[in-house]
Amino acid sequence: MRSVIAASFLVACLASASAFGLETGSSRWSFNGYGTLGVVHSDEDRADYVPDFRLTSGPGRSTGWDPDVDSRIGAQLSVYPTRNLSAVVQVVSEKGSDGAYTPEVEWANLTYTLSPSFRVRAGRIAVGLSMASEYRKVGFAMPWVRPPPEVYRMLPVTHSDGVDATYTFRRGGLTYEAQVAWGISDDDVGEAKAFGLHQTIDWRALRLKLSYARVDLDISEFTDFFEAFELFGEEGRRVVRRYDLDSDPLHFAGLSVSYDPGNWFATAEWLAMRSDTIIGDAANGYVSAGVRFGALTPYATFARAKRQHSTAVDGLTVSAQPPPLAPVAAGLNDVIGLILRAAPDQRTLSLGTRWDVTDRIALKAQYDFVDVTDGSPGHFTNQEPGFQPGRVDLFSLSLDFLF
Amino acid sequence: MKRNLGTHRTILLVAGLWLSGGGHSLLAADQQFAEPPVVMVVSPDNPTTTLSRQEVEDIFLGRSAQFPDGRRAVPVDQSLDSAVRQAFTSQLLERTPAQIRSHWAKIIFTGRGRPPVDVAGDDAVKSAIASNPHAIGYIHPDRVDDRVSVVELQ
Repeated sequence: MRSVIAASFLVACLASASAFGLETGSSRWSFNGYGTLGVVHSDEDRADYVPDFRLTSGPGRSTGWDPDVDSRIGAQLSVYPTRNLSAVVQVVSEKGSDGAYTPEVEWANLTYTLSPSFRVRAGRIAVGLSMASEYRKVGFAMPWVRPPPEVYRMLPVTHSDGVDATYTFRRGGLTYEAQVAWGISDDDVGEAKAFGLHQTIDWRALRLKLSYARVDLDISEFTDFFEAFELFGEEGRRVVRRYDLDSDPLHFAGLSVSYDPGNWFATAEWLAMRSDTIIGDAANGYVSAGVRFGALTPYATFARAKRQHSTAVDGLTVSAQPPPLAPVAAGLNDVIGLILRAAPDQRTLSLGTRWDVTDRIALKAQYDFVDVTDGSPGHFTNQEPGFQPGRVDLFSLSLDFLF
Repeated sequence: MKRNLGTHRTILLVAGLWLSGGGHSLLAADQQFAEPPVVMVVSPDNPTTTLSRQEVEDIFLGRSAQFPDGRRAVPVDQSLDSAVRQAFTSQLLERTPAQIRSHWAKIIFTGRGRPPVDVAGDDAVKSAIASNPHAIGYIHPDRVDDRVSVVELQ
């Protein structure tokens, strides 16, 4: 973390000097970077706020002012050897699930442009279900301190290794783009194979995005858990088929609209997930708007994460078990219930302001008023035993920069 | 047990002071310097004589790579720090330099493309247009000569 702070300050100083033309490079390559230094404070000290799956702790119970939620630094090298070929490598350093700021290759891919309408890409590519999915780590590109977690925390992966093909149609100022993507994402939690279809329409200040993805998820902890049901014969197998991740994929559908004529903006996104698995169903969304007064952009966001599956466990029949197995069956049912109830259900009202200090540095302050629904942990973890989060107020301060 | 409410009051007080101070001084700074006028220029071989502000915006923000008649358009920018570029950005694109950087950041950091080439000064713009008949740029009206032809804005 200290090395990220040191690197970020050095870079922020260079960026503010504004004589740095590194990003123009030459016509054959360019080097660009981005970063954020942020702190978050929670007024609830009985649980940690974790708006991102990579975080295992957050502000609240573990720390007072947490610098790891939003801080990161990313650098990208783009190479253009010919008119039809380009290659990109982006490395990002942010706090990972291991607690360290180990730099990770976010992307490394090759794009081949077959024609003005058609291009293909292969390698480690961005996963793009929501509007800001592909640039969600670039704080400077967004008005808020972080993209609303109600929507953006739903899909834990930001990149996958695979291929995509994009068709672009342009007429005057209207652009229509359709993209088909397939890839595999691997991390220490498990593996996800995803197929996605994304459509975007851009016209003047309006952007519309429609997405669909089918994800085959494999979480090693869940595979181990479901093995325990082998003790329970036919009924055990039925319960496994009902809840495990091997039998059914996750389906995602997203709709995003954004209008940004320059002196104000409005964005609304909706992302739904359906799965006949223990992960369940959700319908999450947000609405956000802001106005620009010179260098200041005050904004407000209302976000909602709604758990849509039943938390009633369709599990083993405990009464039908022989005495030694009955407590095991009850225990397994309880774990299923715990996982079903762990799906986030909460509302957040965010009020904040962005101040564009220079054309490469922005300072943001944001209040989040979170209301977690009873029976769900929301985006909180490390709770004191038995604690149910309710109303939690968060304050975040962040410095975003480009270099 | 909730944390001391004093922390929240302090945050609000500091935030209020910062916002009122920062916002005011930056708004004032915007009006201090008069911006130079700017004209759009293309190659004398380019039949385009008029463009709407929307068409200029679409070309310079990467939404369109063509002139209205279908010919390829290659936008040429001047350095983001130059007065001419700032005048172009605020008068024609009606955006701040930060918004422009944010717009291109979304494109660069998603590997979808790159911003227009940056050249230094009005003469460099005229040279770029002389060497590429598809180019379109902007210069101070007093610097117009026979290497370029002016595009009227509707």
